[in-house]
Amino acid sequence: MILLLTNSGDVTTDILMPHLTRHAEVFRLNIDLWKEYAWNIHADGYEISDPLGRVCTEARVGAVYERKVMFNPMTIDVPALGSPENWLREEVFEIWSGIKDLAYGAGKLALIHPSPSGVWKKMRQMRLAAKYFPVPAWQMLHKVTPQIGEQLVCKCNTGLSVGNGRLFNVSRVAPKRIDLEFPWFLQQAVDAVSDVTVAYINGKLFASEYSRAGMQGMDCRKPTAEGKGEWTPCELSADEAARVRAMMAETGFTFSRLDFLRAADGTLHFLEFNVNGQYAWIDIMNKRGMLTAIADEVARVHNRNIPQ
Amino acid sequence: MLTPFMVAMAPETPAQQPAAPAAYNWENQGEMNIVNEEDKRVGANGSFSYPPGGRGSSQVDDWHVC
Repeated sequence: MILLLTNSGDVTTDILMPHLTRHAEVFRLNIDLWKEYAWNIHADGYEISDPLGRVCTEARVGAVYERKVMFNPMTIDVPALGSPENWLREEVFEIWSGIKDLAYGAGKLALIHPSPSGVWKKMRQMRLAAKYFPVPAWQMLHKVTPQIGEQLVCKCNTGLSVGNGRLFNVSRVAPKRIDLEFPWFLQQAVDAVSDVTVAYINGKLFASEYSRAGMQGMDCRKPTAEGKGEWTPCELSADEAARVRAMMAETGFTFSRLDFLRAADGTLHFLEFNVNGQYAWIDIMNKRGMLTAIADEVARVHNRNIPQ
Repeated sequence: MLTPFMVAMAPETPAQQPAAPAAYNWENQGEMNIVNEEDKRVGANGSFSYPPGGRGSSQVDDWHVC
């Protein structure tokens, strides 16, 4: 059995399911619907059942695959002294984390897992990536003057909303205009012709690109979210692919989605990687076999633990 | 002087919409077979759509919903 830790609104899981069920029975545990499940976790294992009577027992689980563990609504306002709803969410989240932790200890965590070498925050990612790719000069600063030129963009380290549901866009910013009493993540702007994103699946690479021709602003997520333009499959050179593989091997992760910018001269500039990034949209019809690659990797872990 | 909030709140920043209540299919655990590239069925929680061109706001870490 493959145990999927996710939420009921995770379309990637919806799309991946038929690819996984070819390999093994799947039990989908949606954290946002936690009230519908019964669970019993004890010294000898766990049993989880859903409203239709499916039962997931730890002994039958060969692989645990974490997708997106998100409640609905994803976030809530929490008073400084706490709230019952937040307490419940945190308790349930600890259960989810505990199941994942048990799987990690048992060698059952597929694709999305902690790295023995750390968390790999953006600043460490960029330091490592500089061994393999050009990385636009960057600075995270507070109370000091920017020193990486005049053509800059500002970015952020988190995906948090800054209020009213608004996300932080990558935007051009004039260094002389920023208030240094705030924390800033600045990076040299790259005169890019396209964004390139690469799904890394235990050595297999699936790359796509998004042309910046006519794009307004510096953040491709906005026009992508609005359905403007299109991500199309692309190929990395053999050298670029080798460098991605070598870099990911250093991190200890078996899955990641890496983001780059392609400059007019063809140079690939590293931006960041996300060790649990979304991916199904890259190959939604599975024409390139990316969903198969994901499912095969989960199944490989499953079959290692529960020989077929 | 610019603050990070002024940058993030620039007019071009799309507001993320809260997710709709889930209408989850317990029978097939949400399983979907995408049959063609024009398929833009709405995801289980009603706010997600796909493929490229049909993806909506997501509230996920990298904006891509699937």
